[in-house]
Amino acid sequence: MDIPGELFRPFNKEIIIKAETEKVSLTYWHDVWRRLRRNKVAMASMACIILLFLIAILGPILSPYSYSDQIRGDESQWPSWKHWMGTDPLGRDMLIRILYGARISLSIGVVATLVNLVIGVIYGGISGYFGGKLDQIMMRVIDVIYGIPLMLYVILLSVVLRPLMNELFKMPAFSFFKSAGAGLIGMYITLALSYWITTARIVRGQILSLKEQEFITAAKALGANGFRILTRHLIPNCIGPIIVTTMLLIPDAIFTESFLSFIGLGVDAPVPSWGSLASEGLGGIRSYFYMLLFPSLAISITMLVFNLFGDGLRDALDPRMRK
Amino acid sequence: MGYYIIKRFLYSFITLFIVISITFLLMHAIPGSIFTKDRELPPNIIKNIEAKYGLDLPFYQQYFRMLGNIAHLDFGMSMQNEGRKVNDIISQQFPNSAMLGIFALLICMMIGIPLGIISALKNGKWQDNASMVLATLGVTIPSFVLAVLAQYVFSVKLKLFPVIGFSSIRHAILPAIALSFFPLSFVARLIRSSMLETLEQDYIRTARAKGLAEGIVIYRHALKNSIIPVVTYFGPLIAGILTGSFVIETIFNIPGLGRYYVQSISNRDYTTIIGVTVFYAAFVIIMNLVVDIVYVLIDPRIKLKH
Amino acid sequence: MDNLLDIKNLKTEFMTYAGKVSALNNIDISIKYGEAVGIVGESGSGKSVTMLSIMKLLSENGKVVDGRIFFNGRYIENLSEKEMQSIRGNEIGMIFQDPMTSLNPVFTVGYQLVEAIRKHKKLPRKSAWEKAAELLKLVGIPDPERRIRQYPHEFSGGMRQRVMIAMALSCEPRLLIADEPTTALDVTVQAQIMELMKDLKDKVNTSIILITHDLGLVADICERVFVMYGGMIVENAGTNQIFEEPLHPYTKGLLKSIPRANLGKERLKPIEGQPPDMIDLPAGCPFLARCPHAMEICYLRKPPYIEISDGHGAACWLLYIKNGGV
Repeated sequence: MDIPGELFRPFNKEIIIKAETEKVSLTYWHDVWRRLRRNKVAMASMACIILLFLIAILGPILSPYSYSDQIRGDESQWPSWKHWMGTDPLGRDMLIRILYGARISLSIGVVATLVNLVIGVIYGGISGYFGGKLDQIMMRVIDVIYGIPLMLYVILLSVVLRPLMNELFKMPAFSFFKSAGAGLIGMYITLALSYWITTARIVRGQILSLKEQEFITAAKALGANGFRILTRHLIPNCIGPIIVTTMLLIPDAIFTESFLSFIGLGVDAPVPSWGSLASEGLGGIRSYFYMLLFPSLAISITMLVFNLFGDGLRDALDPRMRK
Repeated sequence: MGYYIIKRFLYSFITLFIVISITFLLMHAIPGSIFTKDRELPPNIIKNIEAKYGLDLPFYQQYFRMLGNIAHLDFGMSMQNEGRKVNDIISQQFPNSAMLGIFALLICMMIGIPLGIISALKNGKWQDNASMVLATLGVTIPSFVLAVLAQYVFSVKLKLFPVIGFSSIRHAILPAIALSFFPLSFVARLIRSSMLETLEQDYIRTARAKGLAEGIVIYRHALKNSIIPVVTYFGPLIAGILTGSFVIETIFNIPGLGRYYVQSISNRDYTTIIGVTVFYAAFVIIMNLVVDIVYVLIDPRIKLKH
Repeated sequence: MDNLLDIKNLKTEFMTYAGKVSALNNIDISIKYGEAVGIVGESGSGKSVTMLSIMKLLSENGKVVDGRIFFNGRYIENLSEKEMQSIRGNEIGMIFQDPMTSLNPVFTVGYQLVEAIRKHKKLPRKSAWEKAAELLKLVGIPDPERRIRQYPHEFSGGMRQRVMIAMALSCEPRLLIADEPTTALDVTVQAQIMELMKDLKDKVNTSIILITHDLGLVADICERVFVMYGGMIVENAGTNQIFEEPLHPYTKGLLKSIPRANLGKERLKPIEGQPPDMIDLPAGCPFLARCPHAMEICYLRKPPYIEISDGHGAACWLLYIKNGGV
């Protein structure tokens, strides 16, 4: 081997140390965003979701028809340039009805999820943070509720809420909501009260495990009070799993609404919901297949993109869960 | 272990009790007389009917009366079908639902488990991708959408199966497949992720280091460990099939309890709603209990823990 | 040839999410019949990968890309999966780091032992169970007839590691690979397990590879040591030589970080810095960043392995200078 002697001079390590520090250090959220962006399926789903919201908001504004307009002479039309998705036997334009259905589905998804999120975070947060006897009791309560088949409870609630709402609407203070219909308001309330258990469990679990970690002890030792620890340290650290659960709750709520509307428990006619549209379409399955196809597609695509986006988000937020 | 089972049993009992109470309270929260509905009846007739169903009694008496009746497994009379007992309705309609449900559960096990295993073993290859696309569709597309589309394609267009009814095996095939699609996909996804996790465990490496053939490593050492955690999902799975039956039976016009339940909801047949809800809840709770006990029996680790 | 195992120029790579990882870079290891050797290094230095390469048990993303492994008369890279299976557990027994997770929780200890025995020895079921009980007795588990029907979770960590040892020895292997067998155990249990291994080494006369990061354990049981760093063998020596005359700066650092009773007022010295990132390993010496004697050549080229006496050598440019290379 022939090696020039000057290579045996001491090596200046700053060269590699400098190289090390020049590597960009990514923050957690940068990293999440980078992983998410790399996931094509999730990005496509996200685009679809944004598009869906835009269509739901703008569509009915731009359409020449309203969801309850019965157009004489245009009954039971197959899709055409005039009615892109055809019309129903009463002459109502299917496209506008499906767009309204999107408003209902998405608003239910968002409202139900947000309310459940608040309830779940508060319940789980209190239970996990205070621990001890209180936690024991609160968890037993959850165990019991968890044992109740959710769909039965949802059905029961919507059975009861409809006449209750109608009664309420008779009072002047609530008459404002009457236009939305007892079914829709009942649906919001039912779904808002139904899904918080998962969130509560996750939040509690996260808080319990975080409580053991040293930075919490350090914060306590520095004299931070309970509320501050909860809001500044614990909640931010649970945010990942909470986002994932929340995202996956949206399609659940949308599904439940369409399921209930399909069996006749949801929104009241003439307000269209995808579930009730599909149910109407079922009656004409032999001759008016399009009436079944379009609402079915709308539900399926919506469920799919929300689920795919939720899955992608989960992988991006927690690479360890990646399978 | 005995202690654990007793504890689970107690929990189930409390849950059932709470379900019954909630059902009772919710039904009584409905304003006005539950007979008023659309038709206007003379007050004295309403009074008579109320007396017949015990609705004139004070609130708490009605409650205890109902608890007593349920303890005797008596759900009272249907309000819409004069003279029919809710018990009879259940015992006549439920066997059809149960048959359909068992059929669906079998399909779900026979296809879902192998699908999940193949997926895990071929992780990342086309078999895995194909199965997971199928399973993702299965958990996202609502069962009623799937059912009506299947009905349209296979029965109305291709005429391979009868459109509606429930008088032969051929009638049951399409509904059972439609009903099993969600649980099947769910099971396939669970088995896949459970299997992938198991295959990374140290004891799998130990089994390989012993010189065992790959087949034995997978089907003896990995499979048993992967299926055990999945057993706990059988409770929700059965509950899922049950709620799925509400729409599937309605769509295919199957004379099961699910369709009847949906009908009694739209008819506001409150005694039937209470009876069937409590029956369903009890059914699911008991199934959960059975699943928990089975889980304890097949997983040797739990014996000591509890 | 009087070596049981001869590894020449072994190179193993992993494809990961973040890029290609060169886990092993041209490793040479040889072990004589009946010899006990230690492989010492930090976690991530490639000790376990070496063993899994020998057993052909690398995970799916790992691959031996170069080199030859000669074991007991055969080149194992030429063997089919079926032939490998008759070597694993039969000619090579393995003990893993974490006894708590290395036994299958849903089968009894006896079942798992019998499975290994019956795979390689044509024994009737009954005698296999008897043999399993004997093995448990051999590794010092009291009341083996009863314990054999119990599940792993009914055993303590130390007892499970004894079961693992029994399983590894069940077919009287030529080579026993112990991958950090005591790391996960309490100190007192550690001593018992090492005592057991020493005892068994004399009784059953197998060759042993002890993988560890603890030079103390090596001194206890091994005749030779291979020191690994960043996927390379940086030093190879007899056990005495390594304590008396360490050559590589990393080995010297390791020795300084061992607590010793006769240390007096001298302080324990940790090795400064972090092990290298295996994804973009520098072209030169992997120890460069932590080496107190780093030279420019170390940055540019991998140091050659230089033998200074029979069976004692190291891969370091300092040795090159010392031997008059410049």
